[in-house]
Amino acid sequence: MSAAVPPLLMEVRHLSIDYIGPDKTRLKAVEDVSFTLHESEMLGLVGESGCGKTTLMLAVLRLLPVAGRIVSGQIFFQGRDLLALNENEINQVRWRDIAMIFQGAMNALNPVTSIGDQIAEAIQRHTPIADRKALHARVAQLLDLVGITGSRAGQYPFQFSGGMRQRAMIAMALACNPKILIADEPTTALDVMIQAQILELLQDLRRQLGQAIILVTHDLGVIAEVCDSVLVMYGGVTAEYAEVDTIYNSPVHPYTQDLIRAFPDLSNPHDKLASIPGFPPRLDQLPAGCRFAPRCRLAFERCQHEQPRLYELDNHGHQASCFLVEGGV
Amino acid sequence: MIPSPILSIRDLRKLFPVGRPGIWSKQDRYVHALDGVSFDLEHGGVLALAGESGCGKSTLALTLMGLERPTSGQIYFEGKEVTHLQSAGLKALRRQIQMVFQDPYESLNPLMTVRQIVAEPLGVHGLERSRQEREGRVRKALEDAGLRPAEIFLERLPHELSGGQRQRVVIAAALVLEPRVLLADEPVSMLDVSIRAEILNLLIELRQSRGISVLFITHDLATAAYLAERVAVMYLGRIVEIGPIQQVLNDPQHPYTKALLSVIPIPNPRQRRERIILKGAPPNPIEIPPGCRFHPRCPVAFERCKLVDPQLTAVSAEHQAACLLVKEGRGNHKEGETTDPSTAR
Repeated sequence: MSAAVPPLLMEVRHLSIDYIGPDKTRLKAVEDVSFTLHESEMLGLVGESGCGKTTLMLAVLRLLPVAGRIVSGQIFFQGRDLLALNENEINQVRWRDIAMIFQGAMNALNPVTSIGDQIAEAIQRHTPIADRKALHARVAQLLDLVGITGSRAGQYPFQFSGGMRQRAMIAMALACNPKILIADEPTTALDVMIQAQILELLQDLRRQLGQAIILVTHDLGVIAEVCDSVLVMYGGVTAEYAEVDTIYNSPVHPYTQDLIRAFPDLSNPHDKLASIPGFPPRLDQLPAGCRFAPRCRLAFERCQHEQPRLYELDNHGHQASCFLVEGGV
Repeated sequence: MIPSPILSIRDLRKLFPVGRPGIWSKQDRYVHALDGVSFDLEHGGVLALAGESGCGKSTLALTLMGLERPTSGQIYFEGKEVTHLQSAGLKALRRQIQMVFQDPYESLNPLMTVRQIVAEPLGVHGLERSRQEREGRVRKALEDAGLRPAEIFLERLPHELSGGQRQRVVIAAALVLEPRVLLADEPVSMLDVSIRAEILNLLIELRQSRGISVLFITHDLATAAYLAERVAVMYLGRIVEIGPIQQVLNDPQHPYTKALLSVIPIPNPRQRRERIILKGAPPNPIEIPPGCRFHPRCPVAFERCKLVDPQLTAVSAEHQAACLLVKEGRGNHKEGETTDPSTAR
């Protein structure tokens, strides 16, 4: 990306994931998605509900539900192919190397166990500390890292506000000092001010600990504020993938362009907001050609029956899946 | 000539008792959900009410709908006091003020067809004089809400509709009574970004075509800026700043408004800016801090803020803020021009 590129942590190549229906029908949830992640990079993964963001992230951790199958592609983490690991080996990677804050998990904390004990549980599960004092100290340290005083470790989830429960979830994800933190909609149900606090915290963490973060969200504003690169997904495919400035200031995919124009911008309140007519495709009713064609204002004949491949636009990794960019912009 | 406001609220208070701190204690404790709120909603105007969770904005909506009784203060509808209306009077008022709820996935009965959902309010208000008339009103409401042609939607069930279409059904069910005021409580926050704009544009259209006034409750000032002409920023049960939205956005006076504005994401990485991030969450509305209620989180608070509870003070003719710095710092208003709307008539 920029001049001195930090070491590569993860590379996902041409990953495709199907869900297998009860009658053996195959639903293409993710198709041919590739991205890279470097140390201390913040990657934004954006798209509407049902576009495959969460499925993609679950696949990275090999936590797909029973019906999910990785049908092709590779996931490299520090040079190792995660898809070639056996269950024991992948267990070593989960949480220690790659941790995930699941969507809505702050509401899934155990209500009858103290916050501190729940964080301790995460530590004991992956990198056990035998000495109780040392364990408590580590819990306090983790809470401190996310801005909660250690003295509140004995409190229960109901005594925490929404923002604090989300911080506790982040502390839990940091328990084993992972190299990659995946945060799935970490601020969606939170107020703007609490959202700003959580984003600031994620920024601090990557500055202090050098963590790479994948921020999964449907909020383009959030991504513009904190991310370095952006992967825009639509109906299971990459619509566009580029550095953050390219996505916002010279997007080439009509979906990216429309999505940005649909987002209210406080710096230009008079711009008319444009909605994208229609709604995202259902996996069992994917259009024959480009998945965005039924809603695209620029669609032409070819888009209706042929699916565009992912075109490389430059040497910096800018990719888009649209016939309009064929042969360069 | 200035038309009188369609809805006026004066010094509205709503306390919820939460019991006593100890069993021997004599003092009752209260949640101060609304602590002296005053504003006007003009005919055909759109006022945004912005603030964090727990600032009292939803309590205010419930109170205006007559679903909660205010502890004190007055509500005027078209100049007539409606604060203490009972049964029939209240029902008549509710025909004029309709609410659009936040979550179209939760607020539609899954077993009712779109026709039944939109016709139901007519039955409740005894307006079903004839089948024909009912049918006509339902169709008109659906078409006004952008579900055109109405026929193809009438027999559908909510699960057959997209999120945007569901929210349009919710709006149609509010429009069918031909209300004068819509209270929209976060009407787009549950919708995907690509369809939010259609609902916002629909509200703008309704206002232009039907002259409906809208009270738009939101925590998102960017959306408020798109829709509203005036904005009231609430903090802990009170309005801390109110004015024409462009003035408030371009020249915010209250430190809370400034902080809120600074953390709203702008969808352009070239405009990343210094964010004023307030620590913690708003304090417990049971124990409102003495002095200015914002002082414990205020980045520019000084000694007197702990003692003096600032009232709304004029910044310009229509723009007011409740901060001591406004009173003392800015010389662009004359003494005695302090227009606290609770005293204005």
